[in-house]
Amino acid sequence: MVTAWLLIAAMPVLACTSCGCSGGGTTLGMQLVTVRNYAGMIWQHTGLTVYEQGEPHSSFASDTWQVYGSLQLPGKWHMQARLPLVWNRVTDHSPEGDQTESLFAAGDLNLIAGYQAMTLRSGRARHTLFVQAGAELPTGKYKADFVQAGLPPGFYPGSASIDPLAGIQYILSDSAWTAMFGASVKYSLPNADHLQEGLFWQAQTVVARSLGASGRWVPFAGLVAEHRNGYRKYDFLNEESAYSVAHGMAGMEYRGDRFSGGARFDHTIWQQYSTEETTNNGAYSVYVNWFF
Amino acid sequence: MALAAVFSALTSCTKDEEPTPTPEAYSVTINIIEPSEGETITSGSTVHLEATFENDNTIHNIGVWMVGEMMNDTLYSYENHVHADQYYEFHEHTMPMVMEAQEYKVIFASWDEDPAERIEKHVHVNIEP
Repeated sequence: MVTAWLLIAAMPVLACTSCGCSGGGTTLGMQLVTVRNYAGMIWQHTGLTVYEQGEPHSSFASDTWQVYGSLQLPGKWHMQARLPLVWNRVTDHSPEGDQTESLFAAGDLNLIAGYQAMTLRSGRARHTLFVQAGAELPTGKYKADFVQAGLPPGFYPGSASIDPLAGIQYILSDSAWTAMFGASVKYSLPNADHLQEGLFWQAQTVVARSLGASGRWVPFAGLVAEHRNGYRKYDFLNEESAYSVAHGMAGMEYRGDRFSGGARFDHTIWQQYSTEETTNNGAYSVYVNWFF
Repeated sequence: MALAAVFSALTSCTKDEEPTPTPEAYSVTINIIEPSEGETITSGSTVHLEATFENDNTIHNIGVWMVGEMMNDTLYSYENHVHADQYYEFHEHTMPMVMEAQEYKVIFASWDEDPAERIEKHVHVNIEP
């Protein structure tokens, strides 16, 4: 079984227009690429805090549940689908008390077709290359007046546009070791309100090792880098909503015969937001997969 | 001859009375996001000035000022010819310093060519030492 960890562009921009900053999403959903059919679910928590003069000014927290699945198609093709449910909270901290706005809603349906472009064996090593292309469809909750309401761009999880995306994954696997490098890019089209999310790309590398004779316990670690351009409305570019962030991540996975499950923690090691007082709080996630 | 003169007078009169197109009045919708009306701000702390400007054509000039209601002093001033297509966001930070508590008017405005014909919206904030 070929297994790797693909982080697909799906997370909304986390930004804080009410505090002059913008934030970055963290982990985008660990998506297995495997030669088997599977379905799964992942829960992720991400957060962002904006400080002013050392005190928290506002914060953004997001919990995302995603259900997803992958089917092998004839030839070397596979098809993946993913639907997020998002619980977003943005809080303004003030001496008079905190004010929180929250939203629980569906995000954009993500459909991807993939092709196993290369499989090579070299001694005990196996090299595999996947290419993927697809789109996020406008199924998610969206409101045009989020800026006027003082809400960050990612507060509503939908983009109200068709967003083409593409990615590649290279996997090098040995008997116990697996290394993966992946990259993905999402280009959002303008929606009916002339709002266009910024170009998003992500690159990640993960190394995993199966432990013991059974090889069921698999610790893994890696690096994730992502960047998003600012959004546009008509010809106005909101540069404050652009960000770049890099995470170190580590986790553990258990692989059964028919299921796998794991947990992962992401720690921010570098970030660039519109203000230096914005802090990405990292992320953690738990997931489970069923194979069939 | 007299009839021709009358006819000529009538036609020229009709020509003179043709409505001349008048330029469409400049309009813009201003939505102030921050600060909020009545907000109390401590001197030296960060104030967010954020608003959106929208219309159906071009947003030409925008201006933002923070002016004292009692002393008429100006703590913040910004003017720019943004020439934006239908939409513009303004978002800046400032750290006003005052020696005495005073109410300030925070004005967000936009105009086509003549600043005297600006369209504006404002809120009041209280800045305390």
